[in-house]
Amino acid sequence: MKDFNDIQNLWKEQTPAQLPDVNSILADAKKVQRGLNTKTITQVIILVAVVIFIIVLMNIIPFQQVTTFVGIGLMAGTILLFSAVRLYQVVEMKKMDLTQNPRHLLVDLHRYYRFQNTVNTRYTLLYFILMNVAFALYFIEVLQPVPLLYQVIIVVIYLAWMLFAFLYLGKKHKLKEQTKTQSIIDAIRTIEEHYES
Amino acid sequence: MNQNQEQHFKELYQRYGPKVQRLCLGYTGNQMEAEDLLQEIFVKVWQNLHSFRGDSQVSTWIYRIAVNTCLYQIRTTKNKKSVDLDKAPVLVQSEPDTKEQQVQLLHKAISELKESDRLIITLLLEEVSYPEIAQITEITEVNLRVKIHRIKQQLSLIYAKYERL
Repeated sequence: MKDFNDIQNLWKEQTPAQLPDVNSILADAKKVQRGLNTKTITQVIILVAVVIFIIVLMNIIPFQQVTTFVGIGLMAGTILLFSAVRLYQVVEMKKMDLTQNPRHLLVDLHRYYRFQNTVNTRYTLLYFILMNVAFALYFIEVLQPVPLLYQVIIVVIYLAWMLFAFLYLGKKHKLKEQTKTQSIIDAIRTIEEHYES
Repeated sequence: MNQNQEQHFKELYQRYGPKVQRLCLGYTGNQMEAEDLLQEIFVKVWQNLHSFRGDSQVSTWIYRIAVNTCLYQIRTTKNKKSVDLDKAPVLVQSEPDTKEQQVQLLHKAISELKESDRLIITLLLEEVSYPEIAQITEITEVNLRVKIHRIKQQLSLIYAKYERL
């Protein structure tokens, strides 16, 4: 059986691996920095575009009923809030300080992934409910001039899509995300425990 | 960032790159993953270089970024392994007679340790001093000595087990 000194000698004797070119690392570093900024800027642009689109829509179409305005307002608010939460996540991840001590990093990671879990479950469910309420209010006026048969067809297609999205696509995605996030939380918790023990 | 900073970065990379690369290899047990981690670590070094105030040694600072980046890379629990020697898979069919095979066995043995232990033992194998490891990991030196004693025993045991297989 080798003792630790033998192991250490073996470690020292290993053939050094080829080190990637420093210029490619530098280029990567600059690219990553640009990429992060672009991602954040894109998200902000999308947020602003949504607001502009809704304002334009409300000015182009002469809506009469309060329910329509409430519906559109609720849609805009929900999209804005949800996008803001997503943007906050990107910013928080970006802010993660890898130069701090590992215990603090693990605590930050734990908190981040717990929040991500909440976003993927509760916030997403709330988003779905609010969007459906908003669409229901919007449909009251928009579908009024449409013949009853078309009203039924539109509502059935809408409900079918929403149920499919919620019961199949949404649940599938939610389960996948939740499992992934939970496994990360568990892994972080385990490492935290290792550090403490 | 100016030319001086680029030059400083290049010097740091030449000096610490090989050590960090071996640390990553010890942590992942996989050359490709180690290379990806190495790149990510030095990207972080570059991004934070302007904020390094010299409160600690530059090596401590770089190793801390390396340790944190390794921990940050947790994506799934798939690569989380626990030490269970009886269930250890047979990885090498032939006798580990060459140095290369022995080194491979050693990497496999390290990858059987807990994540935090892998990092600590690799730092030790790189001959980083106890006080510096304690500073990097923020574990008290007394606790660190106890931990290292246990990890050394575990590693020797796992390595011996693999050698016999």
